[in-house]
Parts: sequence; C-alpha cells; structure tokens
Amino acid sequence: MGDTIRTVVEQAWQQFQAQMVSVLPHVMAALIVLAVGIVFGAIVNRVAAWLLKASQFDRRFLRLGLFAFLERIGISSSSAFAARVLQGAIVFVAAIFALYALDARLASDLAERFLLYLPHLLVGLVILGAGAILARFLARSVLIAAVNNEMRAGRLLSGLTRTGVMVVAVAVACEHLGIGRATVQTGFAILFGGVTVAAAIAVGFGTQDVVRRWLAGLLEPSKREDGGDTIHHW
Amino acid sequence: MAGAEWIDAGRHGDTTSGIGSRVVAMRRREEVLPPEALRRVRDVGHADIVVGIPSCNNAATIGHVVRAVHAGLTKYFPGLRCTVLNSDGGSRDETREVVRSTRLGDADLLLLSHPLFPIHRLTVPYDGIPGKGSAFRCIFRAAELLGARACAVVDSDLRSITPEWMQLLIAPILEHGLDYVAPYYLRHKYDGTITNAFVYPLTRSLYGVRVRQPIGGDFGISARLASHYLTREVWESDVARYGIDVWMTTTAICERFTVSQAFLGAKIHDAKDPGADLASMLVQVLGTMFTLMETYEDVWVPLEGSSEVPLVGFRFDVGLEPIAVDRERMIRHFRGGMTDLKAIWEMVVNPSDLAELEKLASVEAREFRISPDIWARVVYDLACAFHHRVMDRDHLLRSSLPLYIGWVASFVEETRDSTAADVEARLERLCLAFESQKRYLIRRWFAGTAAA
Repeated sequence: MGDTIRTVVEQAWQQFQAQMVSVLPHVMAALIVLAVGIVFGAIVNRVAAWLLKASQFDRRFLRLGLFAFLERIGISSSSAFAARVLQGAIVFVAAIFALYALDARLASDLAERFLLYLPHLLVGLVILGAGAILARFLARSVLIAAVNNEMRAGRLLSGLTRTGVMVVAVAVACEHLGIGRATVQTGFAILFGGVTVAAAIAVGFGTQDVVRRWLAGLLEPSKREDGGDTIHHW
Repeated sequence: MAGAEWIDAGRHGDTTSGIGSRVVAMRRREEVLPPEALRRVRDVGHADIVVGIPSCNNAATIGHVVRAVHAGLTKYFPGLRCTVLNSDGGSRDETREVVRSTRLGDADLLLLSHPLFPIHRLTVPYDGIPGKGSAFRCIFRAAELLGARACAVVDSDLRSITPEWMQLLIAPILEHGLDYVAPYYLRHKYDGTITNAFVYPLTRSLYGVRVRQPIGGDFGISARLASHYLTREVWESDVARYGIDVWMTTTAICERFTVSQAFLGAKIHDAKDPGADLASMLVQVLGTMFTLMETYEDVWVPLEGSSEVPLVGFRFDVGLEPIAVDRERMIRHFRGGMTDLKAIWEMVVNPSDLAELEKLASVEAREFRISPDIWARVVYDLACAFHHRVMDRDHLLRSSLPLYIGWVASFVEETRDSTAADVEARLERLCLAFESQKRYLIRRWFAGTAAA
C-alpha cells in the first residue's frame, strides 16, 4: 500500500518535473519578453516625449488646429499622448511575442479569435471614444451655461450630463460587443428611468421659484424697474 | 446720375480680370433682396442718399427715429433724392406699421428751402440669418441698386436721435469724400461696457486708430464702401448678427478707406434686444474681432501706438439718464466663474494673472479691482486661445462672460464717484495698457497659448 502511494507520488512528481522542464523555459521566456517590452516601452516613451518636446511638436500640432479635438477627449499634451501611444504599441507587440513564447498554438488560436473580434472591438472603442468626446463637450456646455446663468449647481449638472452620456455610450458599446446584453439593457433601463425621474424632481424643485417669478412677471410686466441691474452692455 | 455711374463702374471693375472678380460677379447675380423688397426698390428707381433703419420689435421707439431721419434729410439735403429703408427682422409688434404711418407735419420744421423731391419710405423684410448684419446687407444692396452716393444706418431703439445726426453722418461723405463716419457719443459711464472693456481698447491697440465707438450702431458709409462690404464672404457668419458693427469698422480701417467720427451728442437708447442672451452677444462680437485679427494679421502686427481720428461736429455736454447697477451680483457671478470655470481659464489665461484674479475672488467687494495691465493681458490671452484653438471656440468665448462681468464690477467700483471726464481718463489708461501690452500679444500669438 505504502509502496503504491510512493510510486504514485514519484510518478506525479516526475510528471510535474517533466512538465516544468518543458513549460518553465516558455514561461520564463514569455516573462522576459514581456519585461523587456515593458522596460523598452517605458524608455521609448521617455525618449519620444523628450524628442517631441524638443522638436516643438505641441506647437506644430497646435498650428494644425487639432488640439481642440484632443482637448475634447481630455488630452492636454499631444507629445505626451503620442509617446504613450508608442509605448502602448511596444507593450502590445511584446505581449504577443510573449504569448507565442508561451504556446504558439494557443497564441495562434487567440490571435485568430482576436482578429475575428477586432472589428467589433474597434467599433466598440469608436463608440466609447465618440461618447467620451460628446460627454466632455456637453458637460462643458452645461457648466458654462449654468455659470453664465448664475446657477449654483453647475458642476452637479455638468457631472450628471457627462455621466449620463457615458452610461449611454458604454451601454451601446457593450451591446455591440455582445457583453451581458440582457443585464446591460435591464441595468441601463433602470438607471435611465431613475435618472430621468430624479432629474424631473430636481428640476421641479429647483425651478419653482423661477416659475413663480415668471408667472409674477407675466401678471405684472410693468414692475420690472426695481432698482436692479439695468446696465447697457452694448 | 453719379450713382448710376458708380454702379456701372463697380460692375465693370468686378468683371474685368481675375478669378476672384468673376466669383464676386457671379455672387452678385444671386440677389440678396427678397422679391418684395426688390420690387419696391425698383419702383423707387434712384436715390442719392439711402438711410437704413434695421429693426426687430421696436414699435415703441422707431416712430421717433423715422421722424428725426425724415426731418434731417428734409432740412439738410433738400435738393437730393432720399430714401428711408426700414429693414425688418420679422417684428411681431407694430414696428412696420409705425414706419409706414409716421408723419412729419410741416409745422414741425421751419425750412429755409423746401425739398425738391419726396422722401421715399420703404419697410421691407430681409432674407438670411436673423440679425442686424443681415438687415444691413439688405440696406447696402438697396443703396447699390438705387445708385446712392451715400448711405447711413441708425438704430431703431434710439431715443436721443436728432435731425442733425443725418447731416453729421452723411455730409462728410458727400462733401468731403470720406468713406466711413463712425459715431462719437456722450454715454453714461455704465452704458456700452462691451465697447469700453473690449472693442475700443482692442481696435485702438491693434489697428492704431482711436475710433471711440466702433460698435456704435449709427454710421455713415460711402457708396464704394457699401459696395465693397457686399462683395465680402461673411454674411453667413456672426457678422450677420451682432458682429456687423465691429466688422464694418475694422474692414474700413484695415482696407484703407478714409475714416472719421461725428459728434452726435448723447446716446440714449433702449436696452439692446432684451431677449438676447448676453453671452451670445459677447460670442458674436469677440468672435468677429478675433477672426478679424487673423484676417488682418499683417496689418496689426507691425503697428505701434495709435493716432486720433478726425472728429466732425460741435462738442457739448449733456445730462444722461442714470443707469442702475447691481455690483454685488456681478461679483458673485465672477466668483461663480472662478469656482466652476477655473479649469477652463487655466488653459487660456497666463498663470500669474490667473492667480491675481483668483485672489480677487476672495476679497471684499470694495477692494475688487482688476488692473488695466491684467485686463489687457487677459483679453490678449483670449484672442490667442481663440487663434490657437485651444478648445472649442464657442466654449472659449462663452466662458469669458464671468471675466467680463468681473471687469465691469471693477470698473463700476473704480468710477463710482467719477465724472465723465474722469471716466474717459480711466479708459485712456486702459487703452494705453492695451497698447503697451501689445508685444505680449504678439509673442503669444506666434508662440502658443498662455498655458502651453
């Protein structure tokens, strides 16, 4: 009985050793490739950022009139952004190499699936990107309009606008990618309905004074001269 | 028949050479006057002088303006054919009816010479983008068709216009061959704050001429300048709205037309289009000015200092209607902007000036002051941010409203007990600050943004 157990354990250990001997070099190679990729990517990022700044890339970019577009999606430095894109590309390539080092068949299989999924992923990313641009633009419009109309809840309204647009964008992107369709749809419906009701209540409470004043103005339009601001800006 | 000759000369000039000229000639065939206006203008046939009155819901004041214009033309130009053209933007009140029905009784005037021709009065709608600029386009086109030698435009909300305004705006064109007569008014110190904060200092420092009221609204224009305006490709932009006045003035200055000013006395008027959003007005005026800075970059960059523009008319002092201001509210508005829009302003305003403005947001109301140098740099930073498109241009210009309101609050505090002369002296210091900071503008304009 004891011998049998020992034999089984020894066989398991030998198999494990054999597996380790065959797999470990692949894992090590993958980790090394990945680490080199990450380090190389970081170096390239720094060097590229330095070079682009030295060559006044930001200013040239500015002159092309493309800064407003990047600024809309939250990118304040075009040279830093370009350097980061370069770094991301290097890390991505290193990850693919690492995957091949790990298991060429698996990597090939994954790559094939990835390539098939890539168009959906790209469309999803475009939807998210467009959502981010729209969210930022509308949020800023709301914020500026609120400040110019002397409303105190400008940031809240702006934040709600941004969140609302992004929720819609994420829901549409998930729908396109086929991620948890039913869950996303149900969640979105509940959230959207809740936000609408909350907004209606908030607007109702918030504007009752405005409505009261408006009605008073309708009833007594001649009582405008109350010593308030009559400055002629024009 | 001088007017007819002018039209012929213009047409020949347009078609003689060059692709640009052919484009202009083709565009002229696209009639800008609506059919009704075109028919009525053709019925009139010819006029030496055309006076345009743009309007939109001005029934309360336009009758007085029409009477003053009519009296002025009768009194000062009795031997010339004159037409008064009301270009209306779809008034829902009785504006057009008032224009048609207003009568100038003979007993109202003591005339040394009686007019040879009746004064035609037309009230027509205009086509295009709703706004004052589209109304002006219609007036200029009518003047061109009528072969007018001089054209004047006056606002329909004026309460202080007198018949003498016609002589002051038109005579320099007919008798001295000038092209553009800008108004020079006496205004209450809190009237025309957009002019004082932005338009006058910026026009003066950029283009080197001291036109005190570049967006006054009442101008005299020669035939060749009116014709020149019509050929420009701007009528679908903000120029068609509130940008028209500054565009006309800047174009006249930069394209080397002869410019002068006419002293018109007091300007008392209704609040400009109470339904209009102040931020939108600011966007249209500043947007037009900053766009013109790009158009005429080669004109303003080499210029330093400024010079006087000839002023015609007899200067006198008048009493002005008081204007109430709510300064506390303005400061609250500025503080709201500093709290919520600081992230935007950081992309536009240089850090040291922004730090100064941030300090202001927390000081007592009586200590709330924006120095001329800081204000000049802030305005220049806005222009550069517009030029470099650091963000959406509409957002940029709209976000400048609290800054402007802050400047007005500061101006009100500084001039609370000031006389009109003191206020002018203070504005002179502001203009000198704009002129002395012009190098800063040029550096930023060519280098990048304040935040870059």
